[in-house]
Amino acid sequence: MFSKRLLTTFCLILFAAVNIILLSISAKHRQGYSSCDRVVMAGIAPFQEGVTQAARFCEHVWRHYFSLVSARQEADHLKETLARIRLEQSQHLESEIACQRFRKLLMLDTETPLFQRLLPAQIVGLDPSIWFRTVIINKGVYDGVSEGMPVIAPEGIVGQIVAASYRYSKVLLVTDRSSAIDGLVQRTRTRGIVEGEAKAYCHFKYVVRKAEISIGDTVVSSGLDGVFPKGLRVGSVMGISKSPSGIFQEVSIRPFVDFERLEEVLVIVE
Amino acid sequence: MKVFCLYSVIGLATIVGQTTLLRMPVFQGVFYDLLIPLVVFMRLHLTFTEASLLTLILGFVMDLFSGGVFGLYMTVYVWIFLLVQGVSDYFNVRGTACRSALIAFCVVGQNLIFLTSTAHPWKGWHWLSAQIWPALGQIILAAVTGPAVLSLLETMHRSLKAPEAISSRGKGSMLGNDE
Repeated sequence: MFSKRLLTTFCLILFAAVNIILLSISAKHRQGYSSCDRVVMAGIAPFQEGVTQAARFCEHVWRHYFSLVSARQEADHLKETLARIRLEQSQHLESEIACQRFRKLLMLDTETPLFQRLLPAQIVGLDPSIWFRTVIINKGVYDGVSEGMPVIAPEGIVGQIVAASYRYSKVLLVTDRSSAIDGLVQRTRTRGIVEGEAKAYCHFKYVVRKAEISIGDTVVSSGLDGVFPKGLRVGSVMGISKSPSGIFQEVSIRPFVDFERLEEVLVIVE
Repeated sequence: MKVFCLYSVIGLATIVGQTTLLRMPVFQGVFYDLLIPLVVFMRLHLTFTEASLLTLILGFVMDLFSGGVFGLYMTVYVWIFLLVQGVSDYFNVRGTACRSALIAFCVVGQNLIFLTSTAHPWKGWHWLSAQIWPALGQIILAAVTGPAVLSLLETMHRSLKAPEAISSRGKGSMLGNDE
């Protein structure tokens, strides 16, 4: 009744439709790792960790024993940086003392630490695709990590945990297109949403046209998204464009964290 | 079973390699998904059951390590699995140029599926410019190195099959079937 070619075409169309429906269901309902996923992760991720550590060891050897040519220059540069940081530190100390004084005056609790517990973790694997920005870290449910926890580095925000297995977790980086953080410009307190955009930068969206922002301004987390504590550094403003129409301005941000060279991160577990 | 285990190990080793070493800054993200030539090879040289099972397993594992919607890698591999035999027969893919085009075409398909899954038309397309060059680099690299990867897998497969053929011939001669 039907030719073989027609039947094959029909089957392929049907398969494509089923495929799209299943992917939609997966995108909507699947969150985190199931037990089966966790077992598979537990079996494969240790190999990832081993390979990453071996590669880092080789890099370490190369950097410390074979690339001493630029060490002198680097040492001079670091000394200059250290001197500048010492100056900044003394200024910060003054600010801290003043801040404590004002807190006492306002009778605010000064004993509450910003973070109850920071859990250091190592990056053991990277996303295999150029379209998504996630990393695998070597801390999981056993270490107290769970989905939604913020991940930071000394330089600033890294991302948040999107799936946790027994010993490993997947972190969605701030540069991923599905990532969003409620942020504000530290200097002017202008609010907006930091969305991942591409490899090297993020977009600071929904910033009203009249808001005053300059290139180089620091953007920090506002704490209003319920994920990232207030005041964590995100990045610096690298570009501003105002279109003739529209109520918002286009602001691009360069994250402080160098994701290409990131090796260790801190998970805020409480 | 031996073949199945061997290709499982090769596939998993490839996954570990491309989520660690091949994503190092030195490669600039231009390395394409090396499981694509493996899936193509498996479809053309292994039995349907072995190849389909391995394709699903490798797709599942890749989905665990990827940040995309769960099932995207499985989708890509299953479509390659379904179409590659037909394409190969229809165009009589034998030479290096044809193989190179086949692998490059698969990489294009994968990037298109990923692009479709990440694109939000209401957010604009300006972000795409940053992705075009790495994707193009992947396609060119796939066209250049794809046939070599396939040849390598074929050589390995032949060397794996040779002792089996000899042993089966030996058994045949012992039974008196050998000419």
